[in-house]
Amino acid sequence: MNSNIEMKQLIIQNIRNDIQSQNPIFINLALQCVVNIGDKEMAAAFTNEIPRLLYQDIIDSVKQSAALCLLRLHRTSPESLHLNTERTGRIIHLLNHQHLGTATSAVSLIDALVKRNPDEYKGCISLAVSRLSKIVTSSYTDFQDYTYYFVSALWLCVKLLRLLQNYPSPDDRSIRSRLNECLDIMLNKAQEPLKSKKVQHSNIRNAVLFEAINLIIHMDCESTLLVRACNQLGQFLQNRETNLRYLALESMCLLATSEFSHEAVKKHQETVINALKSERDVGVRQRAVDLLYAMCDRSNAQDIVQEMLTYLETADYTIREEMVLKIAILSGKYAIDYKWYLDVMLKLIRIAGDFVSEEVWYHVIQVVVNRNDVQSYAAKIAFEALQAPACHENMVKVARYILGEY
Amino acid sequence: MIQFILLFSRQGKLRLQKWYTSQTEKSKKKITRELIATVLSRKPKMSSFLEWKDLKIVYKRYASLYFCCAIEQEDNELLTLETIHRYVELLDKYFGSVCELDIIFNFEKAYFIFDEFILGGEIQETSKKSVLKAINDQDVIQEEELEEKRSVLEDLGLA
Repeated sequence: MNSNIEMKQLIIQNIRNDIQSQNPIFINLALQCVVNIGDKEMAAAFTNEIPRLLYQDIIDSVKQSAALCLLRLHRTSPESLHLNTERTGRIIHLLNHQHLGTATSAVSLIDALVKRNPDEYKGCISLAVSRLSKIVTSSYTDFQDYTYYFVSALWLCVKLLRLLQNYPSPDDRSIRSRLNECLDIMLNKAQEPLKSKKVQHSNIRNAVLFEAINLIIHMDCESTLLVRACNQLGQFLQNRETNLRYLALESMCLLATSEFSHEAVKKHQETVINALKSERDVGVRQRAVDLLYAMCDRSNAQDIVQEMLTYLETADYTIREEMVLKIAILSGKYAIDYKWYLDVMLKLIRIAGDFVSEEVWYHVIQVVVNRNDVQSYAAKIAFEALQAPACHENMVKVARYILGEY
Repeated sequence: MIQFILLFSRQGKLRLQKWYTSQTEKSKKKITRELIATVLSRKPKMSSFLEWKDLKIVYKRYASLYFCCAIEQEDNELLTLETIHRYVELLDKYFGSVCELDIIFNFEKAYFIFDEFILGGEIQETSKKSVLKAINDQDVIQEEELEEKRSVLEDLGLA
């Protein structure tokens, strides 16, 4: 079809007729067609026709398709979309649209536009916050068909939280306190007893919660919220659902990087190490390794490196290389005692010699060369390591150098 | 944004596929093959999420069918899991307790429901009622057109 330009013109003309028709079903189907094909020619033909549908007095279902259609064309060719200030203002105001479906698809569009041009769409912050607070403070029965397993308007909620993550914490004090209030309510809601035993209900509650935590981490300025988020995730680490443990480990990794919550994350070290030993899913174990790496500092480095070394002996081949690198970095970064460092590194080469890259063992030699006080110790343990019945090639290389020099 | 959605059976047969980014036929085939093998080899107690290249894969099994969704790094996994569930609910409501055969023989309807529910990789309409109404409206138009054609044929004495 690509080569047949005449054919394409005919198709585009037909779609245009449908878009201009009066029947909303025809318009919708035409929009869906544009989205599904959505190539450059279509973008050129329709990008500046579709915004009209967003402002016109037209049935809501058309508006929401039009928003997503515009989003698709914007992704195909961002340069063909031109909106003046008045039009951007009207698009932003779709956030306040009383029809939830329209607001939901509008958020997706605005999110993409914001990513391209954050300043021009700054107005959306206050609107998004006020919409969010309306949702979280009202009862789930207010939303009728948009309530999903007792959680109201969750798709919209999650998308609003995502949208806010495009900006730093709001400058305006009243907006910021309102947003913090919302996040606070969301964290409180997580403590309420479940309204249903269905897995969907708990999933969806946590979907919103995780997105709220993401926003808290992104803003990274409210220490009370951060610590509360961390405690909440700590509870999830012991949850029966593998999915929740997986996500909790992943989010905690981010929390560990914030100065406010780093200490709070460290309290869960024991649990995470247990996860490393007992989890049956390699994906979850991988997350646990990532988290241990993220929470490591001078105070707990020795323990963590020791645990990782123990685990490395039985670890899956797919994650070994990454683990070796992590152990090498941690022990190099937080080493106080160089004898300890050498012990760790030689053990590392012994356990997983195949996965030790050249940079790693070069670094060992560098340390030995620069530190006079450990040279004799290094020679001693290198010699001992060579006594083993089977020795890895990398071990022989390191030992050869050290024994040759000292 | 959802990158693609695949539906396949426990035997590894692809039932539905919806791509929201352009891919060549060859790479589609390759991705599908690899992904089906990966997902089928996972055990039931494992988590529903996995990392795959630079995407996140969220899957769930309903009876003999696997629903598998590829999303971007910044997307919410649990929400995607429930998006899948909502789609299953929609199919269920439309077909009246859906089974694999419904999807095999009425695949076009399943695609129409996709278009009403998810458009261009983003959620469009989360209300069950609205989606089903839109689908039913389409069905009515289709029926009417069939009727018209039939009556034209009858007038000509061909039917």
